[in-house]
Amino acid sequence: MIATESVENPFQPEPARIVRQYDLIKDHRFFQIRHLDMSRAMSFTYNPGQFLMLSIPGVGEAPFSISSTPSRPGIIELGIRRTGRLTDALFRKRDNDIVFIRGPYGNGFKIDQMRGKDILIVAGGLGVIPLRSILYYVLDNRDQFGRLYFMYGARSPEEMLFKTEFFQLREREDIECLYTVDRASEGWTGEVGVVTKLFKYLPDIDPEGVNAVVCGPPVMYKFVIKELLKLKIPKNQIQMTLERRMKCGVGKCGHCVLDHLYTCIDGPVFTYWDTLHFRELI
Amino acid sequence: MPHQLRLIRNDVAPAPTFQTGWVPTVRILKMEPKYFQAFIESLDKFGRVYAPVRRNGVLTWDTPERFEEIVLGGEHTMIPVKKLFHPMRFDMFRFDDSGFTPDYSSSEKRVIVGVPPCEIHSLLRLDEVFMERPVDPYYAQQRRDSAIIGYSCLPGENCFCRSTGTDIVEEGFDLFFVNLGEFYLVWVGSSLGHDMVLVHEDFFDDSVSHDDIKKYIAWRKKRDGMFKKSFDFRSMPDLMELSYESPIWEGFAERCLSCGQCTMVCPTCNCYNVVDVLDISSATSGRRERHWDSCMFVDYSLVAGGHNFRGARAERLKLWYTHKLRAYASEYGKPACIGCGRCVEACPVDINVLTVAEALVTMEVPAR
Amino acid sequence: MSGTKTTTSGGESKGRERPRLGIYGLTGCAGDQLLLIHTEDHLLDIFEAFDVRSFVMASSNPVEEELDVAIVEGSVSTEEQREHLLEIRKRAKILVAAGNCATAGGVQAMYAKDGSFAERMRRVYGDDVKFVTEPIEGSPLDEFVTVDYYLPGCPISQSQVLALLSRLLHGEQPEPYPHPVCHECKLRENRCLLLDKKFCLGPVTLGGCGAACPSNGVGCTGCWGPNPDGNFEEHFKLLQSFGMSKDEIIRRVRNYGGHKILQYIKDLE
Repeated sequence: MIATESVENPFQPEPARIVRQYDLIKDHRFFQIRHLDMSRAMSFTYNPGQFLMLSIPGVGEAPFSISSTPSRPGIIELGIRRTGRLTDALFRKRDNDIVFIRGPYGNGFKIDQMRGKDILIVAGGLGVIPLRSILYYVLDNRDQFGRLYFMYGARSPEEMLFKTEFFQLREREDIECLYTVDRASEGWTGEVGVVTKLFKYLPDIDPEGVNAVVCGPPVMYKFVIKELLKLKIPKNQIQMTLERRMKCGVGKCGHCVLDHLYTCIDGPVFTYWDTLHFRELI
Repeated sequence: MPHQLRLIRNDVAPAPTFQTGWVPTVRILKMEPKYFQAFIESLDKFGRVYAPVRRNGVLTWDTPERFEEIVLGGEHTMIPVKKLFHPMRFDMFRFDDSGFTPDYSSSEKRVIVGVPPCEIHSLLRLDEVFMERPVDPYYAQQRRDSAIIGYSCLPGENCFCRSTGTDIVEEGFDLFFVNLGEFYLVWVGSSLGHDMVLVHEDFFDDSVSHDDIKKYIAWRKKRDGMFKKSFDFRSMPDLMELSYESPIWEGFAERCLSCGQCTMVCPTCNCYNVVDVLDISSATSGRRERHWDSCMFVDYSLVAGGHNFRGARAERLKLWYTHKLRAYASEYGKPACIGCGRCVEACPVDINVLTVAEALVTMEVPAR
Repeated sequence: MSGTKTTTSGGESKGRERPRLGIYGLTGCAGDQLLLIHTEDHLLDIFEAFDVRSFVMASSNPVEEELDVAIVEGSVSTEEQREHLLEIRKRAKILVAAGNCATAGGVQAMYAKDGSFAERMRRVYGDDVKFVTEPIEGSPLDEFVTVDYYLPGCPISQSQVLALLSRLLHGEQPEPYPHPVCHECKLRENRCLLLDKKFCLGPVTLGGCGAACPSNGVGCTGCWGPNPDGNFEEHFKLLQSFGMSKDEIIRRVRNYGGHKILQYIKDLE
């Protein structure tokens, strides 16, 4: 017999209200949610790069990256692509409907290591959703970081997520926004091509003084990392956030295992140095 | 009982001590065989007794109707004792529109009789996963509510627990019986175990003679000499790493049926899936179930949208053997394999820890 | 424990009309419809939660109009049935194929697409027979219409039926179960028949039956249809090593494999 202290149930989903939701682009929707319990909502905090498990009773549960920044507490923002049973059900929800969440989970970006450094954010497609969290975190704590470069590649101007707010960012002096699309359409004046084409616009940087964060489709990592290594950015200063199947979020169910690491507790943020040891990562 | 193999690699820290409830082995008692049945039958006051019994010709952990049904000391059950702590299927929650209510009803007070050393080790391995924070409350409750009565065994045809250092135990039991034929030596491993002894104190003798000790040593020697299977576990982490791109994985993949039997009979496999099951009702109500899953199944690493991180059979096999032979060792300093040989017995096409270990050395997939 | 229970404003299902359900049989033994009736404890729940418009086996007053869900059992074996199916498809938002006949073609499709249909018809019925409706080689529903969900098996499983209906009731999609029969077989703690060199199609057959046959000592016959992840080539080699001929193995997988097995064995015959 083994003695254990009485424990909370880490799988207990908590009710949260959909405060607001709207389509970003077709089949991609933005959700603002807040814990129903107001004190829980106000005390809830997280690190950029962490994720939530979101449940709809009778449909299931799945992990979603948090897209908001803890520097703006009270509301949790999610950007979600409609892609399966759970998201189909979620997209039928309306404002004020209830969903269930638990978390936050995962390690998040290594903010301490990033402080005082120049920050290079490289996003491809949906990868911009978790990176939006660190983007606004840096902007909200602007004096703690060096220069900020934000690269974002989408398939087309019409498929850019958060287009309005990201275009507004271009007017700020304290961030360099570099956007590209695979296929231009009328009125697009930016770069055309994959996200790596944006690297030529970077000024001279001191590689030791840069922290890069990357998220995008699996195929993107190889090419972006090649560029980052060309710039001589140290391997442990390249962070990326990964997606895996998850059923628990707390290192029990096994699905997100990578070697001896669990994406849900040891990730989802890994450094390029980690991936050299755990070859399944990217 | 000294533990032979604690660290696999020198550069990893010892496993964290989280077993706050265990008291060190307090003493070793002696029992005459004639008392054994009465003692086991007395245990039902501590909980429902489970033991290896035969059902439909298969040895399984279940509740014996009579003492005579209990099979001890050699043959192991097909499905390991993990099923009593990590059930094949259970309800985690009941839910309705207003939320999720935990369901802990599957837990009960149990006395599990006849757990061999390797399976005690398997529970300690599962503890590392389920008892690590945040603690899994379902597993923890059943673990808390279960007494473990260990029982010595002699190695079977496919046992290689000496190679994995799991042939002996020093913790993880309330009582442990070593059957020396003429008498039992009984290790008292916990306060509860001591309480069990106190119920029939007259059955136990605390004067163990020099002669008894000699008999115990002779038994250990005999047992150690009986193992027919072995492998060099210490070299496995490095061999796994060196063989990451080896064609042997494709070779095994061509043969693997992806039936998942190896994972279900493995005492340290803990993967599960979670499914919501609705009631047939207009109201939203139902239960959130947990089911055993297997990394050998095609949807194990499939994410919404259709990307499958381990669609190929070779990737799935490699994941399992990485976990058993390398990864768990890097994390916890001991192998995830406890050397019970169940995978050797279960696989219809002879893919198991031994054949894979052999292939990692010879770089050839062994013939069937 | 933090048992969060909160009252929230209306769930979506409240106040919604009961989904209209129709249950139909084409060529088959009607065993799957019978199984629906035999859901016993749940049969009343089904009738309460759904507006059952047409279920000839249970009620003789069918109302043939728009449906939310149509469950169709049996293979398409005549021109009349094909037309009936097309007509059901037009009326049904969701079409479910139930049973081995509807999903794979059934035992009547064991020679599917081998080119011998006309000859077999002639041998059984002679040359000059006039049919009420033109015969078609036994075919699964999806040879003619789009099928939304499959309930395989001979017969279907009660738990899969309930899992499907309860999801459809709430406008949700069911959970796929792409695992071999071996998954449930091991959970029932059966000794693997293959270890005793006995014929069993478990590894190459989709689970869902609860390992009904192996749990009774009978090898899996494949009635849930092929497991797309199955390692057919290796499994056939294994069965051959038990002394079975390849022809015999192929004959046996075609028994219930119908139209669905063909793509998996085309390079193995």
